[in-house]
Amino acid sequence: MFAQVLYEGLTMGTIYALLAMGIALVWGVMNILSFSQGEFMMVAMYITFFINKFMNWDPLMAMPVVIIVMFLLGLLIYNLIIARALRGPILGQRLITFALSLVLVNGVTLLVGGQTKSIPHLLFSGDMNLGFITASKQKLVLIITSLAVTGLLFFFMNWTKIGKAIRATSQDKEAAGLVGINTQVAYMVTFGLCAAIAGAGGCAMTYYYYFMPSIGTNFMIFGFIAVCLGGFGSIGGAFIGGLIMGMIDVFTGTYLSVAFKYLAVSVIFMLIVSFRPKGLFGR
Amino acid sequence: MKKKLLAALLSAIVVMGSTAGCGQKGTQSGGGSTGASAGGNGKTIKIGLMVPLTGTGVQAGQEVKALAEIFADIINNDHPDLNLPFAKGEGLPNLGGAKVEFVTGDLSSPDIAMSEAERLITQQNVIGLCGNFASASTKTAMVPAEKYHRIVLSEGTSNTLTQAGYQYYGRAFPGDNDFVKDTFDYLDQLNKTKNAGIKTVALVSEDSEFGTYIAGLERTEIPKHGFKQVEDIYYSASATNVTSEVLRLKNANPDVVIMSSYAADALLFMSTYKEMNYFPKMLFGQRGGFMTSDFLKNLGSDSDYVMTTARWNTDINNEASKTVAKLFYDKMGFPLSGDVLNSAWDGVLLAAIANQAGSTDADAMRKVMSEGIKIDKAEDPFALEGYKFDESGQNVYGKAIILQYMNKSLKTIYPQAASTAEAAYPAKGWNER
Amino acid sequence: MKLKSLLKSEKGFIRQSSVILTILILAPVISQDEFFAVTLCLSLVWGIMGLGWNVVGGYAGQTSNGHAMYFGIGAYVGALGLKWYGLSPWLTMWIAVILCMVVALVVGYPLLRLRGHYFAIATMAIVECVRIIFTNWKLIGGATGVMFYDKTHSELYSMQFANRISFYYICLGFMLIFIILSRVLEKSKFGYYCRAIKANQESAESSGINSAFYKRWAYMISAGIVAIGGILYGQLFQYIDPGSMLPLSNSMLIVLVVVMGGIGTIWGPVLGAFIMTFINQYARALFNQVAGLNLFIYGVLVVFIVLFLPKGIVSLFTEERLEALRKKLFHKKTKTEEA
Repeated sequence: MFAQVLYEGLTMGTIYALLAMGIALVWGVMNILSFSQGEFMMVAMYITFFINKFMNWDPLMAMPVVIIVMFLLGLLIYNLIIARALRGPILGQRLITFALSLVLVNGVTLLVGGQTKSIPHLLFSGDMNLGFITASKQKLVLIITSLAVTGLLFFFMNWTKIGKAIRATSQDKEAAGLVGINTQVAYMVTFGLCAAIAGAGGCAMTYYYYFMPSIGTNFMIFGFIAVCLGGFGSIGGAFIGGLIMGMIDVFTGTYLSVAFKYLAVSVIFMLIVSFRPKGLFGR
Repeated sequence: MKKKLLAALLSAIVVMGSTAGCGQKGTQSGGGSTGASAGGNGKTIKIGLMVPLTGTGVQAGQEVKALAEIFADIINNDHPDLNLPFAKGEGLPNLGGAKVEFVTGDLSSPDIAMSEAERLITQQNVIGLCGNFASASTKTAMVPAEKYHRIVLSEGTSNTLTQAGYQYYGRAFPGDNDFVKDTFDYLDQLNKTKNAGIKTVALVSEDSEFGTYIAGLERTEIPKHGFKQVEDIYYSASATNVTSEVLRLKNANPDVVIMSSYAADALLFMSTYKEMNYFPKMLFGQRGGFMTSDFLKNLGSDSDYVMTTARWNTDINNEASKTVAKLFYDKMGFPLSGDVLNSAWDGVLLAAIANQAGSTDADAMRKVMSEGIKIDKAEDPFALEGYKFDESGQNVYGKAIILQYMNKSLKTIYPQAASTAEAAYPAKGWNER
Repeated sequence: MKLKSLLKSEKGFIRQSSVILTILILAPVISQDEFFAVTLCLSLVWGIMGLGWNVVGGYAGQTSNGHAMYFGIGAYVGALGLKWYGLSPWLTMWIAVILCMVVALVVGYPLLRLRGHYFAIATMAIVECVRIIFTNWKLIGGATGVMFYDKTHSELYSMQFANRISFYYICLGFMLIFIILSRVLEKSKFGYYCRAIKANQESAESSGINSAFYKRWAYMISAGIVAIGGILYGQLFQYIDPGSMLPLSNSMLIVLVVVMGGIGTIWGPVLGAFIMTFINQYARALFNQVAGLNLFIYGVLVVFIVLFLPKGIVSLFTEERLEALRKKLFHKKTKTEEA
């Protein structure tokens, strides 16, 4: 059973990791806490659902489309809302994403209704019995997607021009401007990226999750704690933080008490942050 | 310029709000805070319909609203061919042909329910409240109801409601103690008649009023029937995953898993069961999420073998029941669920009570409830023996039944007299289906 | 002698405040409607909580996203005190304040070492913990909450008034106390140091200010004020439960109220509270035909206000406008007196 718990913890962890990386990205570059990350995930789930419904595409096939759509959505939201907020006081920036999450959740409710939806026919489904663990194929899709997205993100941030520009902007905005980086574009792309990451996560999750407009909100606290664990500015740290969150979630739930697994998450978070206020990998 | 516009907009909203408050007061026909004769001026009586407008219960709320509109239409207009109360003729006969109007209030959470109930009573002057109440929101809605004297009919099943000593509360259908008793009687029956060999029970309950109360009852019942409790899990209805819960169940391997869950979490559990390749020999739900339209819609044949207690089912052999089911299906395109029906039916009951009392005064209505509402059994989709509410507010004729999902539909399996199908036990694992 | 000079130096503030105060005192006159009265009381409660949060968030610059926990603790102390021991909230409020300040001290020690977003997230984690503890703690009601409608004591004793208007004026009294307290803090050395810490903690420390000490006190004071908000809220509805008091969104709403109104100002939080509460309540009342519409509109309005009024709604009420309003209000009065 231990191996099964480990596997499940990893799976949950990858979801939290995707959320956390998006939050960490936005935090590192723009110094805003993105409260609407869970909602981006939810919107992506709905987009995947409609693509599946009208074009009969499996979520995996739809994923590139979803990622692009979410990226564009992120750009749009940045230009309409976030850019303005960034010119104002800090607290306004912090609240704008919270208000945005309200708008998204209820906007989707208005558009689509509150029914729970799921995607019925999938390319990969069923289980693989590997002896000591039962690995559901759906979750495997999620893990692989998450790792792939993380890999792509790392590649993008470290090997492409725009990625490096974004990293430079997050380290020192003024200096980046001085060397000719268009910080506005960097910010915009960052926000689009974070929406795209959430989108990938949401799309992969439709493989086994049921969703409704309010589904994103419950993940947020985990995402935030994961980012804190990882440390400011470190996306890899956020990834690891997310994995740790998933592990703690499933392990304490299985071996200790289900009711107090959130308590355990918070307590462990408190402990880590007390001894390393900048997180595990923060700067 | 922009700032001025915004200031104007905001002031407009505030002024609008206040005048809306003033305006409403003007249309009230002398309904004071003692609720003496609330709004019954012979033209329209208003009934408060509380449904969740945000959150996970939105879908069920919309269904109750739709059904209430159907009922309102039946009452208000002449439908001589339908065998439902007040179908013939227009309006309520004893109230001078008064029409019925359902006014919506938000039930998204217990505290919102309280202020919405108060708003419906004081601003809209409703004669009573009905809707998708859970036990927690019933308690808060009762605060203004008791203060201003309005009848509340709620199907929240916790027995803390009947023990609270409310004056203006009624529940037409059974409470948790009946549902739990029936659950265990059924398990006993299975053991006796079909040699089912049920020995171990696991409880999985969501951690709000609904789940914790039922779990408490179930816990006391388990040893009484000689069963062994192997797991007692409380989870949060807003959990992101139930992996650890299902892992524990898989490990404990109980004969029966009794669950009390809401819509989202019931589905979450089902999907987690499936992808962890686990299904208990018997999965017994306590209404809630297991009775929602979303459950069947999303699971399809994956819902097979799930059992649940209930108050009504589409397969009840009764003309009125078939009529209501058909009307709903024609309007919405999917089958009616029992929980939606009993919430909306409470609205019809309120109209019937006011009609029989000949007044909308809460005390007169309560008296009618104690004497018994005269509803023709042939016109009652639930085919109850009657609607007589005792002092605690419980309808003494309320009945519980047990259903099971088979071939993508719900069939009644208990009690014997009402059953239309043979129960399937034990359930087949996912691979064997 | 001292009082006179004090009043003189505060002339500007008192003049501005008298305008707003007059409006607030006369507000119940606008409508006799119960819903309006409830909304007014609710606005005051949120205003008090906003004022409390302002001390740590506005003056000291530490964004706490978890203040709902003091709201919750305060409400529970008041509720249980009345239900179990028949103690009047007038008494239990002091217990609540002290309890919350102690909790704030304990929680503040590790947390206030964190900076910026870390602190914000940590406070969120803590309030979630508190919520889970309260939800699972059967002794104080667990998920069921506490119902404490009191029929045995007089209205004044139990602070549960059938006529909400009386309650409104009690709340107004408390709010006034906290407004004065905020002003005192703002003008004092304490406020000065907090502002220094807010501007740049390192420079402040290098000037010899013990930032940890002041941050802690700011946090404790804000906790105490919010606790009173909790007690008043409890008496307004006579029912509390962890699900409605302690979710994350409530903490965010407290922050929202202050930021909407005008962070770091004195009347800002109150103004923000009134506007947000009215919008929230009336949106729900007016837009209940379609599911989710009221929160959607609420969210959109918040986005608008944050974008177009970054300094908060209080920035609409500039010095000149308040002066003009004051002249209108008070000159009319003196004119009628002369006549």
